[in-house]
Amino acid sequence: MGAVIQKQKSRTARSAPRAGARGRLYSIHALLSGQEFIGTIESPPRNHDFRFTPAEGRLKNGMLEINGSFSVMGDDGRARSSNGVTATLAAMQGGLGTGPSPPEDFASRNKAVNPLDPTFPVTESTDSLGFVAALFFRLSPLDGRTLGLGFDLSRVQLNLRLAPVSQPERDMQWLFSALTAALLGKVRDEVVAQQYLDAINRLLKA
Amino acid sequence: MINQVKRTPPDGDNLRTQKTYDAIIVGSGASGGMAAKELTAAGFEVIVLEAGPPVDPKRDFTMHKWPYDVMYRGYGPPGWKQQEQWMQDTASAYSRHFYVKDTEHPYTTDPGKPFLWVRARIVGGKTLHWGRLSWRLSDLDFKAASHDGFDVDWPIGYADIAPYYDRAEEFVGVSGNNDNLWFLPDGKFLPPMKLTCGEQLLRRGSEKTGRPAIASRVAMLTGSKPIHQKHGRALCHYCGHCGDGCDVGAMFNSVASTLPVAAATGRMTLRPNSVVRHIVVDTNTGKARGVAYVDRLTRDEYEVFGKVIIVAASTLESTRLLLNSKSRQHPNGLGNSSGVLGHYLVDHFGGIGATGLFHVLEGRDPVNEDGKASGLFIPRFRNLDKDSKHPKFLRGYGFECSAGAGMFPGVARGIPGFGSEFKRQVRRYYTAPVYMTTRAAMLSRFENFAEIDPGGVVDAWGVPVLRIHIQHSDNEREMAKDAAETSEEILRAAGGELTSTGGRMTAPGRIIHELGTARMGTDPKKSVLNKYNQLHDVRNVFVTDGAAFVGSANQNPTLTILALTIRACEYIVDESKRGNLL
Repeated sequence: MGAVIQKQKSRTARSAPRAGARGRLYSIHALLSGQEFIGTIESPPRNHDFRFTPAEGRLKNGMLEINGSFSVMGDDGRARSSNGVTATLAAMQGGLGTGPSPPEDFASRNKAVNPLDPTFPVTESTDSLGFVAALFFRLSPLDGRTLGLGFDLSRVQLNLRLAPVSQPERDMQWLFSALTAALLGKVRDEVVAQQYLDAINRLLKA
Repeated sequence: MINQVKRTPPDGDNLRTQKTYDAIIVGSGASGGMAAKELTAAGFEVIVLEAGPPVDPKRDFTMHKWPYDVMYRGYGPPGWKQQEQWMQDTASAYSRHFYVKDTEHPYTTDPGKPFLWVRARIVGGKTLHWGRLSWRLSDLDFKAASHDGFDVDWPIGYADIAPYYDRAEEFVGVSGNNDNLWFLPDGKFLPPMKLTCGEQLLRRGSEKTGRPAIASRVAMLTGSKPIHQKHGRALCHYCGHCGDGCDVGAMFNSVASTLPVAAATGRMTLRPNSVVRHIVVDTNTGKARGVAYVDRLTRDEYEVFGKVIIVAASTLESTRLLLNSKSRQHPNGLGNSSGVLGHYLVDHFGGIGATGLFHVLEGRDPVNEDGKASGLFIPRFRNLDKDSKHPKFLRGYGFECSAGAGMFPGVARGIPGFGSEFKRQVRRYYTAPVYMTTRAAMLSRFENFAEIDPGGVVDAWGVPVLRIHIQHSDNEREMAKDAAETSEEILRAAGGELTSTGGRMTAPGRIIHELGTARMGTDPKKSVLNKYNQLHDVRNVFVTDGAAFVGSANQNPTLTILALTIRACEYIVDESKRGNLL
């Protein structure tokens, strides 16, 4: 097919990486698993499993901030942690399909499906049927060297996918959906947002 | 720490040092591939930058793989879709490698207003799995504003684009009938695919209600012309797995059609794994001089130079690239002096229709009805003229329909019971189902738009992503209501038993016909492109994909994209000869 350029450079593992030697890591991807955000940094020939363990969320300057600890498997195969890591919510991505039902404490907040006009067909997953598929956080600066990684981790974005497989995870997804709607929707309501955040914090401590 | 920009590509990259190409083409899908073909034929040296990996049809196309040939019988490892590719709606375990991983390619939306963004980042792009429906637009669509007073007309009419529709159809190979409908122009067709028995029944029912129904026009080879034989494309053999990659070239895709033709000229360089960050503008001349891109695998940064830049990365990716190409002269993005870039985003909607059973067809011997890659289409019948004017909405919709046995008996999901009796019922109704779903226009509105995410979200290569704001209006909802009622009417008129009707409107994006955001127009204050897909602001940059659309019409857009691309390339060649571009 003519001049097709296919060039793959292989990365060589280094036993004692300099900070940033492998370049900047722009984003890492995690899945909500129980009460933690768990993922893998794929960097052939080695993958690095990591987890962000939230301790508590709060509203700061009108935005969600979650404090917790970050642990990762380093280049040398040893796990290292960093405490006091902050994940600040930057944006959300709306989900498609069937969203979660409200947790017991919020069962009365299941709104009518079609508040506009009962004769209109509804657009899937919109308005009161909306929910969160993913959340995007900015992590506070991490020291790649301390964590045993050769990446520049000074400005890492954490992409959190919510695909619940248990009731606590479904509850968490509903609460994050309601919280982001209160913070990022047309009508901001921090009082309502705080209620949802309180419920999230209770789940995190459970 | 970002690696140093490498202005001179490393040895072994097959890129000549400091070469300036006649054209840089961003994207290798329908539009990018066609641009490569047209420009190389005219003597241009082009480089095609494709963000995704290369394709090896022998390895990557799985159209003949059976479920028992693959792990998990075709369903893939548990959780793969929900965890990695949750927005890639049409991806299956057979075709998932065509599609992006949502883990690496985020985008953001507003609460309660989701957008489903299906993307194929691979050589060939979405042509590897597209639906192949190929309709022309008419002046009812190009001059819709003159017709009903909403928004603005396209800067071109049907007469301007008709010759290019001819060329696109002849090269691509479109099967269909000449149906003599003024609002759905006829073309240069290969023999139509035959209708199934159920589709014939449905057609009669539709005609009874005064609405014509026609064989779908699809970009599939049902007959072979010399141009197709020359490029080694075979006739369709009705395997029915077009979405898994057609390794015989029966369906139009870039890998089987346009790219090999371009490559054979010796004037095309194709560089996969090239994620374009932004277009580089010469501050002295105001012209674009090249693009900056990052290697998807190594993360090394490069620049490549070109006299003309053709942006064909698909609607939203093209606009994202322009928005990310900010500079002192273009503070709001390249080509955005009007403030319109990103706005007037649309997608067709579906999800509304009817399903049923034709009892007269139950219990017959099954035949290979699902191998046929086309169905029945009921074209738009609302707001064609004064007599068909609807009091509650503008523009219109059509129905995509199919009937007959499929590889998997989907009808089984609605049959209660178990055991031998259940199997008997499944076999009884297996050959009887009929499906109708709408394809409806969405009005182009300024307030439906995409912007660079204000929260600073980036993709895995550090390229800022889009935040997409879009929702339906009452016009779409009224149209959906009418479509639900009409589909029921037609199905009953055809003698079918209705099993479900109505449904939910699909969320924007699900139909994968996102259009607009860099619209054409005559007024540079209200549009991004002129009538030749050329940026008003930067004369050597062109956007040739669906971003250029002014309105959605209700017809599938790819044939129009191909025709616009051919037309724009002809203009580029002519202008280059006059010294206006190079």
